[in-house]
Amino acid sequence: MITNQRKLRVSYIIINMLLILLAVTIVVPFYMVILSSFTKETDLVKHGGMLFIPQSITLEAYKTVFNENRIITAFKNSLFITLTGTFFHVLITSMLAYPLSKKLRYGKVIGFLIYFTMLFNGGLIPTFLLLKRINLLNTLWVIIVVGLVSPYHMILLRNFFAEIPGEIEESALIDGAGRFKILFKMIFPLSLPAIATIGLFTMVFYWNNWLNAVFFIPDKSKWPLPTILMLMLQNSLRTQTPEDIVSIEDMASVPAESLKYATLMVTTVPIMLVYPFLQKYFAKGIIIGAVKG
Amino acid sequence: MKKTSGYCAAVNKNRQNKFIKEMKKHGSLYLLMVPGILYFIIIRYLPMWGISIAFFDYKVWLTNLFDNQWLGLENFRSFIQSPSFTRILRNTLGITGLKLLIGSPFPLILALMLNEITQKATKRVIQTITYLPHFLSWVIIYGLFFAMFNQTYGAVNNILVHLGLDKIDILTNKSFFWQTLLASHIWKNIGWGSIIYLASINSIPTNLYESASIDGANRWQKTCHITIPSVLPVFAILFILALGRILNEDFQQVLMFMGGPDAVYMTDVGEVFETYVFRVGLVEARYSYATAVGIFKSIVGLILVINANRIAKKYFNYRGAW
Repeated sequence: MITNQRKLRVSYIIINMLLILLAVTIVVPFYMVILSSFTKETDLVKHGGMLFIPQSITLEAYKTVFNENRIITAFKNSLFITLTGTFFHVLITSMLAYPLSKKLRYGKVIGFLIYFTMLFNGGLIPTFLLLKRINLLNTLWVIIVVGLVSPYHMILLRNFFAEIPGEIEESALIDGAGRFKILFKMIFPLSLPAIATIGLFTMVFYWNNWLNAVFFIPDKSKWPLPTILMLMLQNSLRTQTPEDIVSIEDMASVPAESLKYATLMVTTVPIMLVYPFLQKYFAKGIIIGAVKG
Repeated sequence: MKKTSGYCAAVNKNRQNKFIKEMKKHGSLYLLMVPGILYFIIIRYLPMWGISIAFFDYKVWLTNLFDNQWLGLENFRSFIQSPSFTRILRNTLGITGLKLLIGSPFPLILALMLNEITQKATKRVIQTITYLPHFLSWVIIYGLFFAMFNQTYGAVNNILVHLGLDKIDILTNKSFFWQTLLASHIWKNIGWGSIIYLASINSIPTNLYESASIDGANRWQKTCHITIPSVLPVFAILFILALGRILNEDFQQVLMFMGGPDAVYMTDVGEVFETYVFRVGLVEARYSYATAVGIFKSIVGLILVINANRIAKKYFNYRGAW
């Protein structure tokens, strides 16, 4: 019995250590990147690269990032895409989900046709040619439009709306309120957790969206922040020399290596800022319920 | 003859009436759906009509499609006979297979370990940290990876040099590529994937554990005989559904770890369907051929997904998203 107890104690300690190890593999890269972004380039070079112990704290890299036109533009582009995109995504997805949560004659057919797009799609090239045809290529709107409605979010919201008892709306309908008004004045406040979850997920989706810019926006001055970061990484991998990134002219004494990490942080921080709210909502089980079916 | 056409007309009339009735009753609800429906018609369904260019030698889009030269299945044949085909198939099945066989138990193991943690604070901290990578894009993850492993300034190589060892090249080394994809896949998804297992562990009735305690079972025995058997069906469902998506390699991950869209370091080991479509279609502008490759993948993928869903429904009571 005593040996058994000891065995359990030992396994408990091992489990704790494994979990801490996992957490460390996630925290340490962030820690080192943050630290390097605040370090003088000369110190980075002197110590042969990434630091674990702080050497010199400086804002040089961040000053450069926020003086570099290309990065400021990219940041603004990302902000526009994220905010406008999320607004229209939530609006249009809920306007689609709400009627489909009712028993409509054509509801099943429409619902299935939406679900079917999760299984099968035209693919990259036909989509590209279509966007070219409707003159959306090379605009910021192309990224917004392509992700405007998510069938998955639509199904989530529809299921959530369906749980709301219909009697609530009936009195409003008798009073002559329109469906639009009912949706936004009555249904929205009642489904705030679901709307917030979808809104936050959409924000993260749009903020992270780098690949569609590669596909659909040839003009690099219209690229969002993560796509610019991708370009920096791609270039520095290609040469493995830090001089290659962005424009060399206005950065004679620029912390090239720390600049890369500063850009990485500027791209990551907004996600970290919404992360606590995200966690609060997905913990409530809306997403899990959907995953379980 | 006359009779049947009359019958048809009657049916049509009836349908029309029902349609009008429905619109009179629920017109405002349908009106709300208009923007969303337009989105699906234009952005999702029109490209499906666009796949027809795979059968033509494409020069003109949509309206004048039939002015193009008809090729039939020529594009499909030349893809399947090309050396790229075997390479893509090998890479796709290799990478997803590796992730499926080695990667998929990790979230389950994490959930079981978290379940053993009795201190709530520790559990929450670990959960908060491990869920985070799910929300980061592959660009950010590659940036962290680059910071850790690059040759000039990477942290790992820095440590190796300080220890008097040789630097290792992971970023552009073909022989590490699949392992790198597997490791970063596990790193990104382990936390998020564990949520569903934790939820199903929480839904196990507590009286099972209570009666086991009365019978003298210890914690370890309870885990082995109650917790694990209860979550295995969930694992099986997720595994089968993942099998159905075996052709859907994580495009963003592969593209980024190959070194970005312009990089061609590791096409031997990293070329999968999507990267090939992107390279041949958008970079080389061979629209018809690239579309054929895309359709091939979509149709095989669709068959796999439908069968996987069917198996999951039949044997594991999976209810499906629909």
